[in-house]
Amino acid sequence: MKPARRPVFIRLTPAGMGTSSNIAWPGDFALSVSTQATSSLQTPADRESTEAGIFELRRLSGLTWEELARLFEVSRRSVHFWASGKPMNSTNEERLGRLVAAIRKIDRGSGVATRAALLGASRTGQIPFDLLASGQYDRVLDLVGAGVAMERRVARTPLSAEAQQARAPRPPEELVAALQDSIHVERGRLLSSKPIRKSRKK
Amino acid sequence: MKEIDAALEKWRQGDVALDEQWFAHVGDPRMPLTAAAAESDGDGPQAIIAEVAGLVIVSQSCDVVRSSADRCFVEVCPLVEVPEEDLHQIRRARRPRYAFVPATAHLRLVADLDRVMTVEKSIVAGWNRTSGCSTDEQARAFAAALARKRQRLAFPDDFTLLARKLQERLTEKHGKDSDEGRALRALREIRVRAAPSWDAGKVDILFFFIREDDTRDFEGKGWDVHLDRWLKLVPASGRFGTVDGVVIPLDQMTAREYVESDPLDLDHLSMSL
Repeated sequence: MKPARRPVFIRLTPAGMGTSSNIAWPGDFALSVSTQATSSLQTPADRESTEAGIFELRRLSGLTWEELARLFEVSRRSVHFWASGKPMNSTNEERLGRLVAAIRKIDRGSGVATRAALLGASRTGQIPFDLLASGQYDRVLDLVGAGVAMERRVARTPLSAEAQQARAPRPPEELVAALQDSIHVERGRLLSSKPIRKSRKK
Repeated sequence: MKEIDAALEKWRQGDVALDEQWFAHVGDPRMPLTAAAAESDGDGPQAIIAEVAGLVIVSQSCDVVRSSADRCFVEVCPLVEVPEEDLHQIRRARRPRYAFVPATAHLRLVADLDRVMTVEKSIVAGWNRTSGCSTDEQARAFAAALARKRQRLAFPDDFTLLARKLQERLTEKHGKDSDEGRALRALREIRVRAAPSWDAGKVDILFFFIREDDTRDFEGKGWDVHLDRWLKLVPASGRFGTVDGVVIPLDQMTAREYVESDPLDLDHLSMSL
């Protein structure tokens, strides 16, 4: 009898926080490989890495929620829940790690450009997106070529806390129950009045 | 004209004229809806001048200071007195009819945005000015109240019905000392996207629960737990074929998603449907 195969668990962690067993990737996150059996053991840190991975994949690839769902062969709602912190199973976690790594390699510097490269037909007639969905990451790199955008972010001076506060929208609970009744004290004393139409001569 | 422009140079949106306690509107004593109209005489529409507590400028500051040769009018709203207990609701934008004016808060006077009067700048030039807002934040809040009064999206009735339980939940749980209450207080904004459009025969709804960046979970519970709870309150029905939602930090929302969605701004349950 064959021993049960333990799934490979690939975790995205902020760069610099990993252990020596991490595979270093350029960018914000590193891939770490372990043999955790199931995702039910996920901690808040694991959730954070799942969210971060989904958001990075979305930002770099420019793919829509719907297209991301097709990459994982799940519903759009599942991707929304992962982005909101719902744990992934280990298979999807592994796929996420590999997808992020692949997209980082072909990153065109903007989501729009990378998405266009993924969805455009190649010389061979193949669509890189389809290859990505079927896990042929090396073929995607061959077809699309390496990206050139590693250091494209322009540092921005953050707004002051006061300026951020001034620009913040009204909090949700204040907007979902607007009161429309009149509450003011009407002085209303008449000071003068005058007809707005001249009386018609008969 | 130069004197008028010079006199208006310091006036800004939100500034008040407390000495000007009059306001003009048109009413009909035969069918009076206000005390002033009832008090007036005549057979037919009357130009009525009634007493108010003061006036507040609602024109854009740039239009106020623009040459009176180009822009000769200024729009003003009356200041009205409100009960002390309601003042904080107006400050928090719970009452879109009114706008909070920081300089007159101690008098419990706020702008009544239901009424607007146009006056020529030559008249304003002779008024005593009191600065209404003293900080950029106050001026922005006043401008936001003006914008909201005119800009609130009238959501379709069936969407208002769809969102009713969620709205109820948000109102009920927000102040509670519970994980859900804390989660709600950590939301920056709720926006909703209707595709292909609000008036389409079949509409896909996507709620964006936009959270502050530094709030990842509450007592070990992820946002997905709250999302699941909230989405169960808005099941797909009628025209709304799919109703989805995502909890997302502002930084991760695309500009397109932001501009293609509307803030969830609804009337109190007792007011709607």
